Amino acid sequence: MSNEYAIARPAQPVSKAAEFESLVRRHQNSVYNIALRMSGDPEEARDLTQEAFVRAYRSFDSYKRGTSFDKWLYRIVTNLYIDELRRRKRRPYIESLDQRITTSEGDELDKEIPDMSSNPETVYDRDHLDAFIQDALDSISPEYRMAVILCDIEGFSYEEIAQIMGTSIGTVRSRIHRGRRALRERISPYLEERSREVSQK
Amino acid sequence: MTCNMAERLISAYIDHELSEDDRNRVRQHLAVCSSCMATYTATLEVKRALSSMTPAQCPECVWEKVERQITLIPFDREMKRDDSTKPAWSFIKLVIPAAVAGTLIVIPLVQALLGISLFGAPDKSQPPIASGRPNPQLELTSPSVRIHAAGTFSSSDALEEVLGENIWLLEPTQASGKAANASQHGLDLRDIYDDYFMQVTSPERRYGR
Repeated sequence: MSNEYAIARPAQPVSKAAEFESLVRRHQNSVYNIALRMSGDPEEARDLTQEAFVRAYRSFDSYKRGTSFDKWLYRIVTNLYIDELRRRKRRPYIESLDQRITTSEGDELDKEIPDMSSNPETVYDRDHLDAFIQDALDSISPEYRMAVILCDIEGFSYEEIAQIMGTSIGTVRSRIHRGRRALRERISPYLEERSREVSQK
Repeated sequence: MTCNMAERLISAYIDHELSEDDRNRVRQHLAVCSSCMATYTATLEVKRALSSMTPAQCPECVWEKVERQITLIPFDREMKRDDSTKPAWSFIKLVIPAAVAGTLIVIPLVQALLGISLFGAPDKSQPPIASGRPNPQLELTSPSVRIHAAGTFSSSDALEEVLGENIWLLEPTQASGKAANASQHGLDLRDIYDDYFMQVTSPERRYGR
């Protein structure tokens, strides 16, 4: 990953808050994007991003100026997201897809469940493709998910991911291998179906 | 190279994270194995699908909320905090109580269990406890009492270890009806125990009066 501007090196003395704000604004989209892919929920992603930056600010004194800010920040982000998502998963909200919805007037309706495989119009829709991949990401463990996101979405090398996740390169290799294998089992049938639809058009 | 081995290396092969030797071995295997080639293609598609996901933009409200929260962190606390002295002070804060507590507990214990005096000649009027004769006031409920240290402890962990494994083994004899004590040494183990250690041992392992 190109980090030509990822090193925090203020040209002139600035206040801690101003320096921090400048770095946050530079990295907030990446941090939010990782949060969104990790949680699969925009509201949760906002909370996680906010908490990550507050934690980063609290330990900003431990950040060594002149070193890579993004790796330092992503280490905080990774620990927070994995811990939080594991904690939240312990008390999942379970709702049956077959359960009928009761409206405010007391009427009961069937839920509209999107069927990705049968409707060719939605198959090609970018949003639906993203939703399908997100669904697959949600199904794998947070450690595998984070390793795959850092590699395939954020473009970090295995060595960088090992530094961010505080683990060995061998563990990173194993997590990416296992994560992609699980994703492959879920996504490949859909991608094959999608390519068949495209070729028939 | 076996298919199993190739399958494990395919992801790293795609990411250019293999040594030249391994890379060549995977490449040669893929050239002759259609099953692994299919796995390679499918894995590559997964990687492409992930990297093509629409990048999300962070909502502006996030920074606004962060800003509100970090302004609540007291500015003077941040500026006055001296990180170079903080770890040393934290260490001292831990060591002093641990050393005092350790000294108070271990010296009477060593004297009581081993029948030796750490401060001069043993008192002739008191029979040595570990001489093989039964002690009317103390009994060991485990034969494997280990004394980890004498005098001072360097950390609260060491203290807790001694507590967890040794101190609680001292129990009052049923016959005497008295709680264990080291009155001959001028100290009451129960009081020392209660004062310092009830908080760090689990309830079920607490010393029962």
